[in-house]
Formats: sequence, structure tokens, C-alpha cells
Amino acid sequence: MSLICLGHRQLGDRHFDHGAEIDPGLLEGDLLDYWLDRKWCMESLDRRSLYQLFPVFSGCTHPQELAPNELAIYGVGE
Amino acid sequence: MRALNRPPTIIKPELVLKEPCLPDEFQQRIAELDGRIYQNGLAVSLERLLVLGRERFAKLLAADHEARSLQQITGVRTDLTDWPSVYYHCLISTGALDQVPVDPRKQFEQWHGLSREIDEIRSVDGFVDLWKVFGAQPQAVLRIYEFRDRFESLVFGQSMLQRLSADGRLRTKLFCGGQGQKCHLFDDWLPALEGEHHRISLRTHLQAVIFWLAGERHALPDSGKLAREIFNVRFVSRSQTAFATSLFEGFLLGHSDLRLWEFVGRQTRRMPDQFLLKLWHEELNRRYRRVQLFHRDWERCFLKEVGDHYAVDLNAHRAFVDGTIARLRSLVAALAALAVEEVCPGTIVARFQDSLLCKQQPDASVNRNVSDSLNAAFRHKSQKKEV
Repeated sequence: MSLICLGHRQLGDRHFDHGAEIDPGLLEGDLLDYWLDRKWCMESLDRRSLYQLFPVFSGCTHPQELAPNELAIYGVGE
Repeated sequence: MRALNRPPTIIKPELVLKEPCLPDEFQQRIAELDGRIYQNGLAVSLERLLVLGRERFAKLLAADHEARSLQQITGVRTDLTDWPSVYYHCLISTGALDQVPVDPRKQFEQWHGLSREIDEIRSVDGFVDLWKVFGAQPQAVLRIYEFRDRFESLVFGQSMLQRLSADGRLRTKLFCGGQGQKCHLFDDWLPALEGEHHRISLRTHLQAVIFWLAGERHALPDSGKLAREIFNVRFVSRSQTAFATSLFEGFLLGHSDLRLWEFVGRQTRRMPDQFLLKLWHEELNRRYRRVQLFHRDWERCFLKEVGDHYAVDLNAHRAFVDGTIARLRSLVAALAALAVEEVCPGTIVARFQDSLLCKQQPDASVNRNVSDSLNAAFRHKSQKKEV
């Protein structure tokens, strides 16, 4: 699941364009609820989070596994 | 009546395939080399890999942003990492699939089960076929391809990092004769390797193998020169050279008509000009007659009875051609690796189908030794081989 920005928003010194993914963990608790209530962002089950797919490079703490066929085709292999 | 009008019995020609003369203990020597390459692995700098990965992840986010700037095509719900999502959100909902420039099968062809390959060619079956809707959504296609390239490269980079041993070395069978897309993905991550490396490229061995198989006596054409001829210009762009290279490769692999159009499109990711392709395919057939005859003979070996006539079993034919050529290319790469090892023992750290990676500058005599070794192996020795 990923958190998608709706419209152009600013959070601190970060700018998010419409459709951009918001880093996991950036919005949490009441702040997340506030954004969701105002439809400033949405939770999408359709889109995989790029941050979670590449935790090693993004520093995300909630990794998501790549599909086995993706690893078989594009990974280093055995 | 149908029984009385059976097609005449045809005598299938026996397939004659040339086989290279391999040196003594070839299999054992190549197995030893591969064993050593696997055991040694490649030293990778973890720090450099992480720095490169973070840079490329930022570029992946930028590519995602670029692709989503076309909001009417790539909406917020489209998962650009997933083909079904792109297919339904970007292609079906925008009607782009109707604009693939290949006419559908006519009713009588459907009724009689003819020209089935047209349906396969019209279909857009993955990111590899996205160029077929280039005419409908050129900007979206280019941006999705850019995103995909970065995504696939990062998958490779992350899997490199995950497979790294405790001693900082990467051990994988990819380095022992690897081929295909993974070799290109590995090229992206060469800067992460420890120390200096040198590459020996086998650039024209596909052409050389097919010319040898077909007994073609003309010299191998230069792709730049061919591109200049095709486009009738003095200075050719990179895309024109890529078109000429792909066209020639497609011709060598025995593709024609719509199959050639699909092959060139997949290689160049652009919509090829069908008229230009047809014209130049005929011209190449005229110039390299032996290659044309060679493929025609191979096709005749795959004739099968369909109702009241014979037709080429295209799938079996293609599998055989691709398998045979891939096997011979692997043999060329293996022979080249052994020739390099003779001159500079222990230098090869990875070998692929079209290149060798060495940990030190190869000796000046390497080129001559490789060409002597290949000339000795690829003498005209014919063996009869049944399909």
C-alpha cells in the first residue's frame, strides 16, 4: 500500500506534486488522519510503494518483497 | 473427396548443421574456468553500491513524477511497476490498443484459421511491446520506458546487494556465461566494482556465426555504413544506426514481414517504417543470398501437414533457430575466454555471451590468440543433425 498525494501540497520543506508518493512514515497518527479527511492524500492498494520495494536505497523501515518473477527476470540470480 | 485430395507427400530435406571443431578437453577446461570464476566472485564496494543506489532511487522517483505529469494517461492509481495496471489504466481506458498499426485478421482468415500470427503481433503483451502504441501516446510510452529502465536497474542493484557475501564478493552463475538482459543490467552497476577492470567485447559474433553457418562469403557489413545507405544521409543519428543494426540482426535471424517489424520495434522501442523494412529486407536478401537460402532450407525442415496443405510450424522453427544460434554464440564466447586464459592466465573475472571482464589490462597478443582459436574451431566441418 502507498500514500499518494492529491493536488500540490507542502509539508515542512517538502513539496509533493499531484500523484506523487509520500514517504512512508512521514505522515502518521492524527496528521495522517487530518490529510486523509481533507482528501489531501489517499491510501492506494493498487500502487506498490517504491520506498518499500527498495528499502536498501530509500531507507524505508517497512520493506515489501518484490515478486518472485521480477527477481527471477531482473535479479542477479543464483 | 477430401481423402482423395490429400496433399502430395513431400520429402523433408535432412537438416545439415555445421558444428565447430572444439579443442581437446573443451568442456572440462570451461567447467574449470567457470568454477574458478564462481569461487572467486567479484569484489563489490558496498559503500559505492549504496551511493549509486540512492542516486538512482532519486532518479526513479523523478521518472515516476515525469510519467505522472501526463495525468490523462497515467493517473494516480496506475502502478507503473506492474504490467496489468499499466495495461488497463493507460492502454485500455485510453483506447490506445485500437491504434496498433497492424490490420486485424479478415473474416475469411479467422474462419479458416489462417494468419494466426497477426493476432500475436497485434497484441501488446508486456512492457516489451509498449512501443506498439507509440503512435497513440508517444510521450507516455517514452516516459514509462524511462521509468521501467530505472526500476529494472534498481531491482538488479538491490539483488546484488542482498547476494553480497560477508567477504564483500558477489558470486553468481551470471558471471559464468550469462546472457540476455541481465548482462545489460549488470553493466549499469560496473562502477560499484572494486579496482580496475577491462572488457573484451565480441561485437559481431552473431553476424559471424550466421555467416559461417550459411557459408556466406561476403564481408560483414558495418552498421554505420548500412544506416547511411538506408536513410540516404552522410551523418547518421544513434537511432538510425540502431534501426540498421536491428534490421540486419532480424534478417540474420530469419525474421521477415510482420515478425521483422516486431523484432526491430522491440529492439529500438520505436515504430519501424514497414515500407522501409520491406524494401531493405528484399535488398539484404539480394545481397546475402546464402543467408536467405539457408533460412529457407531450415524452414522447409519444419513443414507439417495442415488439412489439405503443408505449413511451416513457426513456433518449432523459431525455437530451433534461436536455440541453435544461442548455443553457437555461447561456444564462441567460451572459446574466446579459453584463448584469453592461455595468454593471461587467471585474469578473467566474469564471462558473458558477448563480452569478457578482466581484472587487468589484457596482453597485446590476446586479439590474435582469440582470432586464431576461433578460426581453428570454425572450420568447415559438417555434421548431419536430425531435427
